[in-house]
Amino acid sequence: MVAQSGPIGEALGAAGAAAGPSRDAREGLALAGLAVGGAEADAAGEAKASAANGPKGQAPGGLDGPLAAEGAAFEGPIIEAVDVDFYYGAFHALKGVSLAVKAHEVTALIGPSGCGKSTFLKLLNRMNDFVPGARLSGEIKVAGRSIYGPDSDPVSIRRLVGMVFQRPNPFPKSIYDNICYGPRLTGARKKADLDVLVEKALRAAALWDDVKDKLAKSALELSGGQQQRVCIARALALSPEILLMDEPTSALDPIATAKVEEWIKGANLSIVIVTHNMQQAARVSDHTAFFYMGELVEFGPTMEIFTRPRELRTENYITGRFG
Amino acid sequence: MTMGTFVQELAALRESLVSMGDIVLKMVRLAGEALLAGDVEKAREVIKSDADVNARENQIVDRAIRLIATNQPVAGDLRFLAASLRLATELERIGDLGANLARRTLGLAELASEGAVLGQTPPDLARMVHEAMVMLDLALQAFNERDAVKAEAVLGMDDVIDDFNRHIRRLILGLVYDNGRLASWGLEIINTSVHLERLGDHATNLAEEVIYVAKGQNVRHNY
Repeated sequence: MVAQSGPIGEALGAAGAAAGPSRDAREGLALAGLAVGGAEADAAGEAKASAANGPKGQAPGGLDGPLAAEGAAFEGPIIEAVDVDFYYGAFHALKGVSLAVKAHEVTALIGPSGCGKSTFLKLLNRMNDFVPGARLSGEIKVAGRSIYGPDSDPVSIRRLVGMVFQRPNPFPKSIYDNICYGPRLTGARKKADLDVLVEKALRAAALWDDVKDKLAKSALELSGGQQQRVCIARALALSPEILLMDEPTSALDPIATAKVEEWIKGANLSIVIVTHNMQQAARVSDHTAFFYMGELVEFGPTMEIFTRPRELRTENYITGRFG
Repeated sequence: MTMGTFVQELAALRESLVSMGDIVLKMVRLAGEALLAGDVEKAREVIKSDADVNARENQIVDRAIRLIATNQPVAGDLRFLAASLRLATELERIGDLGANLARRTLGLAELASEGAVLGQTPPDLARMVHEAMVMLDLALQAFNERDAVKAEAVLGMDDVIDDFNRHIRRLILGLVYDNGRLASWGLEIINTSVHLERLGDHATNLAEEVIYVAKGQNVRHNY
């Protein structure tokens, strides 16, 4: 078992969070599959250095990169958390969480605010690394490899594990450049390659038909639902094996929500989604995990969680009787 | 609808089902008494009350559908609401069977008034009435008390009533074979026995719903 004591940032030998980018900026960088947290220069530098060397030997950019193939070949749980405890300073945010996520399934994390579900989600691509006072023990494996081990590389982890956030946050750039942002930073340069990659990513995010004639327009001119699908396409452009989604439709109207949910159901990807919308969890996920006060109370097939949960706390939460 | 209102509505729906259960239990009890005593007035009273049971079924189904549509229930709430739709239908059919039993009493009385040849009521018919009442009463108790153990006890009782039905059928067919003038009477008795056997089936169905609500296990069609 790998255990980190003391701030994770220190353990990773990274720059302190004080000089780090804003939360939104960190999210944006993470969306592009890159390093987040410490000084922007460090993040960009780390990304460029990794790109130059080819992170873990990958080809830069593209939806069909070797990492995806490597992840797909892995037969165990795509994500495996073993006895994970996590602290924000003195606050014990996650308590002995063990959870195995199957590949190519949608896993929903539910629970009341402050229960630890978003903390757990962010641990899966090391977004909590630079939170001051943060401390982790236990082990988290992605595709069979420990992501907090001494040899782990945050950049390649974030390329393997993409993220989409609550509010659509496209960069103030064209639709085309939004999609190319990550691949360019990881070394993709040829226009023809990028054209192919943009189309594939936008098609995968069910957005191509909406935007194919206006790729040069600013992504900020799109509707909220389209912006969120740009963000999904931007994450997909790096061929993630896993996509983390933190309340991805809470800022969207029902029509846009339906489109994103349809995409989630149809995506042949391992997806972990945090949602406060019980019906959404029931609609889109294969497995559901219920967190409460830092504990994983119950984890099982979504159909069972929503028809006959084993734990009274789960029943009380999903039926709205909590507290 | 707020959660508090939803919880109150669920409780009200449960009360409606309990109340409907009380009514059909009383119908079946009166129908059994009327049958065994040849009490035509009591039988007519039972038939009259059937319209009320039908109306209650519609009200309960409408209410359950409204709660499902407006609250997207899950877990125990969903199981209860899904079961409510079936429970209301089961109770309505039990009411129908109570009314049908009462109609057999009227039919037998009419045959008697016409001077038709009548046989002796088989003693097993009274025992069937008793068994059906016990099953129905226990199934409704199980629902009222959310008691899966009582419901499981009901499931094991249906064989007894089925055996009575087969026995009465054989007995009556033998009598009619020997004496064709008993045919009309025999038909009424066989139909009565079939109504009672069906009551046992519906009591079993009620019990299966109680188990589904309590434990989330679908045991339908296993008995």
